[in-house]
Amino acid sequence: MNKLTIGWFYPKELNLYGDRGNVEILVVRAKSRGFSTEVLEIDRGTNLSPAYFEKINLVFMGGGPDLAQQNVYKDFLGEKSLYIRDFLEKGGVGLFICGSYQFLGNHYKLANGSVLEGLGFLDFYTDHFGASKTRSIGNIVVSLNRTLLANPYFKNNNYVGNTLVGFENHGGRTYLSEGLDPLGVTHRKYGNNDKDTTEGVLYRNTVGTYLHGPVLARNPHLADFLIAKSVQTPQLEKLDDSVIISAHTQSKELAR
Amino acid sequence: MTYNVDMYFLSSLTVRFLSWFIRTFKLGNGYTWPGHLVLKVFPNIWKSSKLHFGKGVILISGTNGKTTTAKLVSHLLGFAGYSVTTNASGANLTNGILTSILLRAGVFCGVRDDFAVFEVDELYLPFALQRMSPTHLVLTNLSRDQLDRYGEIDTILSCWESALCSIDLNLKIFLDVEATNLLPLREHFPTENISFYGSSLDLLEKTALVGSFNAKNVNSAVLMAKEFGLNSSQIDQGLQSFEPAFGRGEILSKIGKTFYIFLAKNPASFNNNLNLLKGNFLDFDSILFLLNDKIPDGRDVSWIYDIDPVLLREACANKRVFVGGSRGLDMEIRLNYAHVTDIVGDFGAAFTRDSLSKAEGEKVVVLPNYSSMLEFRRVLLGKNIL
Repeated sequence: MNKLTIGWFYPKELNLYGDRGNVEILVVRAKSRGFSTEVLEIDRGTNLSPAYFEKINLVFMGGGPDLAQQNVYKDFLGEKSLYIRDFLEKGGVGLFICGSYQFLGNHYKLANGSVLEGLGFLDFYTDHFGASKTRSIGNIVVSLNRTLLANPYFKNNNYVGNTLVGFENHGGRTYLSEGLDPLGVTHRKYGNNDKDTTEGVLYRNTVGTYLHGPVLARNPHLADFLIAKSVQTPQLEKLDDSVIISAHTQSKELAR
Repeated sequence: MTYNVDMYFLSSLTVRFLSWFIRTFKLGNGYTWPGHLVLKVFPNIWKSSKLHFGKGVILISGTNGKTTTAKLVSHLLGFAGYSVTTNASGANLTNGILTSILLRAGVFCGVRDDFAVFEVDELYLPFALQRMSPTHLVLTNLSRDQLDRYGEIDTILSCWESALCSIDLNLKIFLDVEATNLLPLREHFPTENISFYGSSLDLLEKTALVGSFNAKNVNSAVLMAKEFGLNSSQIDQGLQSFEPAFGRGEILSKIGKTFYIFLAKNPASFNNNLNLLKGNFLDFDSILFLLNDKIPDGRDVSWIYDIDPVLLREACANKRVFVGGSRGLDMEIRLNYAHVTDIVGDFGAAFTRDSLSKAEGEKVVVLPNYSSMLEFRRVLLGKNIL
């Protein structure tokens, strides 16, 4: 496969904290390796068909404020969820940030106490405790999941190390069920919740995370893993990421 | 009454002394802490009859354009012979506003000026509305800015709405007819109290300001001037003699170079400035991006990926590109992804007159965010605001 086709869900509603940058970064990095790229923007009005979805080899969804999440979630849980579940279950590549990560679980309880049903694709849930808990805000460093580090698609393209850096800003706390792998473990700051030090989720080739930055800006190893998996090329051509790696290293000092 | 006099008199002395002390020993700008302390000790100071402005209290808030609009309104009113208290320093929280008032008012007699014209931080607008008895309110626009501090746009808008509901004032409001997300606020005002301004460029061309985004600032300020009876020749002359506020299209000639400073602190203001630069209105050879992540900027710099990459590439075409600030590396990466790949240098967080003067180029456009703009002016001028 020599083409990266990104299915970008709800680009208008779900784009907080420069999350759109992740799409830009994936496209630039794939093109630098000579892959052709296409970005399909999927909105509430978009009718999916098996033929349309077959072209997609990476699904991306950004974060959004509570209001935007409520606006799209009914549409998402309709026909679109069937396509996404099927795609991810078969090992399709997905990147879900913050609010859309929360959608993958069983439910999201909003600050006002009402509950949004989730996709139920993965066994976890998210609760927002309203004013009784402060938002989880700050620079964050994550030690990556060992399974991911050992995955050849990740390992072969990893010139950064075993950390992820980014910025988190969320009111909801996410609790993974036992047996579900987190994306990594936090050193400082909060991650999924303020108790168990986990951050994000990793299931097959689906990555859910609270990290903004956008997450792929200073984590080229994660970007390349997603690309490598999508285009089924275990070893991508190496790019000159020296500036990015310096920024990644410096960012570890920000999370204090 | 006696209590009022004492409260006012003590506040006035305190602010004068503290502000002098802070500036003398270079501990800060002298606006934040004096007002802060007075508000702690005398939270009712706003009720003092000595803080009354005879002609009007004009508040200006919104994401972008408030500093320029406030300066335009102050300048036009001043040009027409009125006396104005304003916060030209940009100290736009309630503490800074109080300091600005007390420093200008008399120790004994209180406020002497006709007008108060203040830009107000979006989060503090509800406090200002409740305590300062404004007569006129300009809301410029509301777009994404410093999400880690302000939260989401919906949150700010609902705070504004509840503040407007809770006050019982005969307040006149000025709105940008194109700022559709602010239009629901109309419901809280009788029709005769609402004025709309648009984006016509006619008045802008009479000023030294550039960029169609500034047309709205000029149009709202002129509407305000007309509200107070200024005639067209006063307005024309006022606009012609207006100088841009610090860091907002300001031009500084220092160390053998000319610097054009355009504050670019959020995606909307960044894109506005880039749109301006990609045209040929300004002749420049270098472009310097300064990005800090201090508290007033927001610690999160993710927003730089909401800058339009095509505009970035067009504005940087055939220019020498430099970065700097505590997060200059992040800016460099963002530029790289927008295919601006030849970054000449990174000044880092600690740029100096010396390092700036060694950089190539004579005409330099500087796009800083808030604290890096102050830092840049401090390095160049030895002072960060006025």
